[in-house]
Amino acid sequence: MSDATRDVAALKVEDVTKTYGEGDAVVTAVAGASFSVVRGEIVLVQGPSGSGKTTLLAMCGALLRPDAGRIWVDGVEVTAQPERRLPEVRLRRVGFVFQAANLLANLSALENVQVVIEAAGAKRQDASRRARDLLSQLRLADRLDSLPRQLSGGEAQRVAIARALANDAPVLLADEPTANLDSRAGYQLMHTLELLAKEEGRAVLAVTHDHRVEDVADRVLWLEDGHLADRPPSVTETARDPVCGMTISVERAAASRVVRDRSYMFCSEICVDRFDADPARFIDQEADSE
Amino acid sequence: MRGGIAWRNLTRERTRLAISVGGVAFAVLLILLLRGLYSGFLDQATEYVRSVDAELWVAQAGTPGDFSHSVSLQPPERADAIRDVQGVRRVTPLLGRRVQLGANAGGGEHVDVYLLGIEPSTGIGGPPEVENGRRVPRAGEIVVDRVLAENQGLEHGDIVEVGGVRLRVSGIARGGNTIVSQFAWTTTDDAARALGFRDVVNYFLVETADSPPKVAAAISRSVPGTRSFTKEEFADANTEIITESFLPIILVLVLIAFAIGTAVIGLTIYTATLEKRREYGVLKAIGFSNRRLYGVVWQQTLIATVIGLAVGVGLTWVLAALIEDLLPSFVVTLGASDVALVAAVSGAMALLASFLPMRPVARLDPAQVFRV
Repeated sequence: MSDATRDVAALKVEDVTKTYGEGDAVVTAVAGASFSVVRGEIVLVQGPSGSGKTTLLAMCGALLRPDAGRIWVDGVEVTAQPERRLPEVRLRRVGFVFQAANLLANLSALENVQVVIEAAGAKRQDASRRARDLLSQLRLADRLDSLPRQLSGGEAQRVAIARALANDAPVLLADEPTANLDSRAGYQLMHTLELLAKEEGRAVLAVTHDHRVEDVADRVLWLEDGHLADRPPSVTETARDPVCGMTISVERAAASRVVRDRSYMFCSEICVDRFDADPARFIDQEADSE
Repeated sequence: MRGGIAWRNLTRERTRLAISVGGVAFAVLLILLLRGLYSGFLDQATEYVRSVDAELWVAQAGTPGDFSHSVSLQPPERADAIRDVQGVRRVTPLLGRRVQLGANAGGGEHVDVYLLGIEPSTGIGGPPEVENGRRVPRAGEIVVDRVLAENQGLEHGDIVEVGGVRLRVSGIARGGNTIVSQFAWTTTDDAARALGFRDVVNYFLVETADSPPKVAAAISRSVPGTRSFTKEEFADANTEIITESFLPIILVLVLIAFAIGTAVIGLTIYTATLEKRREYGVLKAIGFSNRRLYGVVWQQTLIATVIGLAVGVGLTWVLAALIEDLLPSFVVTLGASDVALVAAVSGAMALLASFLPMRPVARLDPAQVFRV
């Protein structure tokens, strides 16, 4: 990917506001948010529950209209488009990855991807060929004919990614993409998103609480009470849980222990209990790994 | 692939498909069978009249025209007056009245038949076709319709009694069943004795050398006290009572079948759509327009309807054959036009049924898929 391409803002959000309710019951979900995501960039949106992350994502995907502000997707100002044009924008310019894979239960993995390509006007044979290629790239070549219920969570989520890429959308929007996956599948998905951004030049905007994804993110945006703030990954202090090995945010650690003048942070009470039962074991392991 | 989604949704949820197809098939079966039976009624009721080798039926003036509910009494010499009318080629007298026939030489069960007396020399007014034996009876003989023969266990050579006259069954005919009664044919002389007629003719069958309506008008003008019917008019007069009595009932039943079929397929697809609301929401979110999603729903309804139509038509054919086998008096007459009609009705069912599930699809908010 050339530098010129990389600098193009695939997604641009300018002073966007969205409120729900009326009068005394009005809630500002997003207030004057502005940011952009260039091709090849992975941007995370984090924030407490109810902070407006999903609303922001839905507006970026042309699923919800802001009350004020403008949004461009791949150069198209979606906020200026009439309602009837928006499905076409979503079909061709935005790829969605949801928390659950949300595949069509009666369609095979191949058909789930093929259906989206055909919807964009491709002939059946071409659509089938492209769907096969995409699924093969995501290492699902042997699962083409499997129904969603026959796939593991990670496999289903990769099919969902293939579906999101079906029409070569420059923007990928992901809503808690690793939430329903086990650790291994989560890492795999994380690196898939990284490859899509870095090697294929897609702009990825993801809402996630999974701190592992921060490792591959270029930027983290913090959304709280509808207000957006830049929070680069370097600003966040992280630590490694000595029990499970996960990288966690210091400010969100479930507990901490100081042993031999060194602080240890834990992701959950379970890890704390295990640590407390035999601190020496985990301290030695930690020392070995260092 | 839109068709693919619809097809997969149907074929991978077979119970639901069976219910949808069953609903349509039931409606198709009911509509086709009722229509077939009705057509069969009409065909049978008029088969004899249409088969008679005469263009005009001349009755007594003031006669409504149908066999069952009118009595036309005319002097035999009127035949000469009719014969003198221009355009008349041949005049044949026909006697006919409803009467009781006793099987087993009168010792068996007595049943209503419509006894017809025909001229044995011409055979005009005889049965449309004969299954076995003679088509035209000789003196002392009677030809009975096969339905009557089957119902009464009559065979060739059996003796029956009509109005005190013993007649030998010399033929078993086809085309003389009007559902409510059957025809039996004997000679005019035997009929006159059996019916107690003396110097009375019921109808004159007229062969014409000119256009039948023109000759009919000429007879009405030239021979007072007569009313002439063309073959078609006479056939219609004989089906009028069936049409008036049965058609409204059949229409109501067809409407009920239509409503049941529409409701079954509509509710089945509606339930399926509600259950798949989340999937439709996902499709909407990733860029499927409402129109495209309506297409999926419509195709699902259409596919179920087409399969239901095929199953319904097949079942009707099987059932029709079974009915005819078990109950010979019930003939189911079906043609390509009937299938075309029921296909159009099924199309209307599919169209109506697909409106119901389209509403929840239209109201789906695609942004909802982010909120689960």
